[in-house]
Amino acid sequence: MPTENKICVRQICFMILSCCLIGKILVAPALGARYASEGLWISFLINFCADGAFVFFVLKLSDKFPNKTFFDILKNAFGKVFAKIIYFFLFVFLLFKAFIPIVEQKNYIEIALYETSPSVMTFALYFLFSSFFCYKGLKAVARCSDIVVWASSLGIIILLALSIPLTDLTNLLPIIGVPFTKILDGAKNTFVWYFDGVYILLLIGNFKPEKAYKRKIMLSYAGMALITIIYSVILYGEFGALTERQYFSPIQMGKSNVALSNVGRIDYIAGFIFAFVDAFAISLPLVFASYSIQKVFEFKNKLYPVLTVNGALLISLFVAHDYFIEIFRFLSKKAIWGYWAIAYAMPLIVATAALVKRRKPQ
Amino acid sequence: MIIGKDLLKNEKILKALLCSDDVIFFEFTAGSKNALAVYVDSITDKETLGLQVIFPLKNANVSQSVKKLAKTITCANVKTVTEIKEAANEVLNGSTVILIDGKAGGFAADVKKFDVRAIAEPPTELAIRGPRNGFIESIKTNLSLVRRYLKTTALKIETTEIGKYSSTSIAIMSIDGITDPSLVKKVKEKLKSVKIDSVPDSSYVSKILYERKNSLFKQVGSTERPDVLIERMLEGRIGILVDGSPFALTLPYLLIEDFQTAEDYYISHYRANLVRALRVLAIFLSVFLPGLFVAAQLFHLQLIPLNFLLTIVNSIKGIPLSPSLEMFFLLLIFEILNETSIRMPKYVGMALAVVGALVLGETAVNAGLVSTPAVLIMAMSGISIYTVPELTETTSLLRFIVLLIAGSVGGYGIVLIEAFLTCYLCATENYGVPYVAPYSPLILNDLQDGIYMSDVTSMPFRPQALNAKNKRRQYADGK
Repeated sequence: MPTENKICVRQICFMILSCCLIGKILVAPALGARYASEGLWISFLINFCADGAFVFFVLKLSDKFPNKTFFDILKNAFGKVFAKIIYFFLFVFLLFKAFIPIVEQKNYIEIALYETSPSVMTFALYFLFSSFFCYKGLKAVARCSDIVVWASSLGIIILLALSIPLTDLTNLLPIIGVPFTKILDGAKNTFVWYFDGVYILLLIGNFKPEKAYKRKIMLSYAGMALITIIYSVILYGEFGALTERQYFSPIQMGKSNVALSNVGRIDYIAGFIFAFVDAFAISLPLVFASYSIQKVFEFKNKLYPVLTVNGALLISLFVAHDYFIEIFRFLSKKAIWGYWAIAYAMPLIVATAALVKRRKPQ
Repeated sequence: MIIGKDLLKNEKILKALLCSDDVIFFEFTAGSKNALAVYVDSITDKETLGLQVIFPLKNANVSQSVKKLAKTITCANVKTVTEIKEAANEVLNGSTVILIDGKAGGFAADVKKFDVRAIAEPPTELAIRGPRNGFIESIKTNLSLVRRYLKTTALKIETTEIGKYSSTSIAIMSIDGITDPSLVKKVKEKLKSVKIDSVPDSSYVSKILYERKNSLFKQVGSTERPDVLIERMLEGRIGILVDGSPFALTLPYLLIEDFQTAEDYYISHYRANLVRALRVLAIFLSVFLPGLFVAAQLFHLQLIPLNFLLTIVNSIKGIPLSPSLEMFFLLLIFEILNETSIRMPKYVGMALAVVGALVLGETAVNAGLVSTPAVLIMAMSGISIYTVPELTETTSLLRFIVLLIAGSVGGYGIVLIEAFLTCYLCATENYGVPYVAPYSPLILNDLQDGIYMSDVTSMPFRPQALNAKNKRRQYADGK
């Protein structure tokens, strides 16, 4: 019966193929091209390999501790207080992780989709949706993924169909012509859009482990990586050295297609579809942040963590919006080490310690 | 208070209880003793009463017990009554209560006769192919229609009564071996827990059965067609018939149900797929088209192809209202016309059409109050809504909300409403069944009868979402 509270593996795969995918193709390709030029796809490949390795580790962990959430694993190994401390760090990380995509979505909406600058309230409405989404919890994330995946597929197909005829792949040649330091720079500066492994980490124990589930999740992750790389290759193939100026690529990619002169800007449909999917994508860290803080403080009312997380983001968005560039530079260049420490190193260390501790008595 | 041996005393108490001019106290002699028949004049078949109840009692041996006397009458449905209140209830339900002097207790003979309309084609679910009978207001006739289709011992019917004053009969129907018994139990408990004065229609019962009272979306399926009810029950749902209502209810309800019509299963499945896709498109247009048009005019002009944009520009020249106000005004008029056309006598319908379409529409455009494209969009949206009549209540409200948001914040507002609706509908469950199944959660097996449908002979399994006990409904030859 599909109404059980646990999430299906298929839904996690769909979440990866929709929300995680769309989050990476709005601004990241243009930024990657700024540092790595035609080697941006290699930068993305490096990022995917690093994040994919962490996803693989998390799946292995869930294999070792079947039906246990990360919180349960920590609680059993080191006690409840320790588990709460780790989850609090994850909560803080997720809040920071949410900030850049939300500002990015705000700019995308206000600059790319509107001809005249819309009012502040236009984007503020998003927080009503995100609060509702957070309130509905992980199950809603899983269920929505079943629908959203088709929307993201449609958006990608429309865009690729419009942009492939305009693509000149020779723009990407020579394939290994970019210095490796530049590629690494591209990888480092776009890494804030990654860390999807953290979602999987918080999902373990909440989904039904079925046959070959690790392979299915890893394949969907690889699928997402492949689509993102193809997308960035086509974008670079179309714009060449100008790619770094193509922020909000979904509405730039297809606009030169001759078909649009007859039927109007149908590429905007893809633009709006991306905005729809992105509304879910940028809410993912908020949902997981609400989930984490709920574990830490064990609120009796489900609304408190939701209001804490969304309120914090709403306030920070309006307070820090004018300093976005500075904040973005700080987060992607300096604070990225902190991201890695909390999102990767900390779970890796504590999970390994939990594994070692579990083996000892045997 | 029990029915004693003194007939006069019993009569006095009953007269005090049933103090109404249409309650008849008919005295006659049963054998050698005085007897009394109590019935409601307007709902009793006097011919049956005379032939099957009073006549056999005239010659009966009244020295026997009441139970044995009850057996002497030829009426099919007879039950003994011992309490005065019970006897009064039976009289009000249409039975005739017989009391005999010197006998404690009495018996109630079911000789009721209500005037009912003939079985006719249901006006809300017309079909070119398929059966033409529909439910009527009599629960007995409706049950007979169900029995005519389902000649099986697996059909279980449990009756109950709701309504302090109306004592409305409700039949809960399930199919043994298919329906989830926990669902039947849950529905029975929910109905039992309700204290209400009367239940004039099945819509009251559906509201009682709602799990989320404030939801904009319906949560209980309804149909006027016995064939639809049967098919839904055979998929694992329970059916509910309410006395006095031609609408049968089905539970659990899935949103996709209202996009499926009975006729889809009687015609070619290619055609059925086309019309189902059209219904989905029409509902989408009816809800979002006015909002999209307004948002495009106000915030996203680049969305409109140039030639169409020029047409719009020419037609809106000099119009005093903003696009959102213009569309709101048009939709308001449409809703008023719609409401009027339902309430007013049919013979005024032609006048309404003339006033609505010609006078209001044409004159408003000529007077420069509204533009032609706006009238066209409103008409398109207004007509589209009726492709799925069961959803009109929800979609017409949603249309206003979308228009309001689109006029205020533009396309992103529409995107957020869509996201909100997606989240709400996906997270909703109705009696433990996902509301938008088989799409979320995706149930591959159930996609055979979703927006796409397979041929009826190629649907071997019942919908998994409904948790039917027996999953298979078609077997290959020899199995």
